[in-house]
Amino acid sequence: MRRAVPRIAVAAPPIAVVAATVLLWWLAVRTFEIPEYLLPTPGAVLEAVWVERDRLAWGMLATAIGASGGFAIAAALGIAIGSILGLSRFLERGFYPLTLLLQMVPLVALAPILVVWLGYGQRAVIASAAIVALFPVIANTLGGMRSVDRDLEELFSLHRAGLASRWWRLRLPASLPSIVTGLRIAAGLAVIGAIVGEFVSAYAGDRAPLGMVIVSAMREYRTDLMFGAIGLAAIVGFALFGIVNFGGWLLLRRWHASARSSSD
Amino acid sequence: MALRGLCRTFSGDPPVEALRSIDLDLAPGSFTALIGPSGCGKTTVLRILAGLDEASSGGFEFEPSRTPRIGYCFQEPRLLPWRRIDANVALPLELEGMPREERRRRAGSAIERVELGGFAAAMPATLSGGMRMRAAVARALVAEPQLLLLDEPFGALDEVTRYRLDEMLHDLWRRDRFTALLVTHSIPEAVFLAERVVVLSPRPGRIIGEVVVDLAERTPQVRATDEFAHLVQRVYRLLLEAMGDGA
Repeated sequence: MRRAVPRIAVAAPPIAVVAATVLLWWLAVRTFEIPEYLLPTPGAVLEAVWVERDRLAWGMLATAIGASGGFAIAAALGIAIGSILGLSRFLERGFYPLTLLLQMVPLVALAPILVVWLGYGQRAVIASAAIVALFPVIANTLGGMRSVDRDLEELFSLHRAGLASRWWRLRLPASLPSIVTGLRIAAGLAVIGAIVGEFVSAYAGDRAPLGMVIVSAMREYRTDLMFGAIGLAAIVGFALFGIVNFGGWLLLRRWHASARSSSD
Repeated sequence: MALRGLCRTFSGDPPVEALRSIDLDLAPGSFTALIGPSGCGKTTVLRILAGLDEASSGGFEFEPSRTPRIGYCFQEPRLLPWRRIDANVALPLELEGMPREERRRRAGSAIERVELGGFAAAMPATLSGGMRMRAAVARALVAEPQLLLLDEPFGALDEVTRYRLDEMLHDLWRRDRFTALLVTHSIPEAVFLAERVVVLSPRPGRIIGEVVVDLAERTPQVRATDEFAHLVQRVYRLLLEAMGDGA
């Protein structure tokens, strides 16, 4: 039996923790008289966000586009690569180290190369987000494909199912719980990848993405604006994560334990 | 349909000889049970017939030579947990490429026949073990097989549920008259369902003998008759002989 948990009991703890953190932050700045350019007060950050709201809104939009574009590419490519590697041990052994390499290469070092290849602007940002987000999707898809129930595979052999039909009707749905886990991780990483990409490749101006806002605010020692932009980047990450989470829940709620009783 | 000199040895170190020279005739519309100690290769016979495994030598012939449509019931229901019961039952038709409407109609009627009407839209996880097995039987029958292979399908169920499913299976067979080959550990189940009970020896499996079941009717009451008990005893004696314990 599932017990109904009152909404307030679910929402209260995180709200309390956030409120306490903001309060401590404010108290620390006041008590230790920390200069504004090192750590602004929460109020100063909010004010900066309000004053620069147009610029920040455009920045958020640009970053959201870069991150979700990269995420979409990582999701499609990752599921495809994971599925193909899942076809045979031979392929897995041959190519998996290469995908591991993807994870090991420091992306910050790769980002300038992406700019050389793709030019300044959104394309390099999307590529950067995609590369960072790709690995967990591949790894989790492969994990899912590897653990498809042998008995169910046999059921499909019995009916002489072809490879495409097997993938669509058995392996993909069976791997979904694990793919969704990979996509959740990828959602957060895509925002990180986008911001790093923006550091090196983005354009300045009124409609600059958040990564660029952070860089220019740094040059002007506008710490309050930096904090504001970082906070908004986190909100973009949360939003992307939330969308992925909701999509996963929609797909799994009817049959998989991970999507049930999540309110407990 | 006939098995001729069917042998199966699994490679390994040492190789395991599972089946030795099995000859078995299956008349169209007949119901045969294979019984034997565990590990005697009963399931292997079914798997070879279904094309899930290959004979080391020998094989089977079909008359006419066309391969019959085969339905297979595994030991477990093996339902796809993300599909509703009706979509699970329709799976064999879907893999054949049958149009959706036709599929739905046929799956619906198979679901009715196994007395699961009203649960077509249910997800497998919400059903009891017996109901899931019923769905698996419906899936095996949905393509109207000429040969139904049953690999101890009700072995994991409680006794009462098992009796009821045996009765249902008997009714389905009497109506549709597919050829059935049942592998089971349960002598009463074999006697209740089959016209002929074939006894296999321990590994490597060979045919030791068979008992013809000439029950006039197969109602639930027949299980309580002396005639039924007598047939069970005969099969049991053969099984003891097969295991080398004498009788």
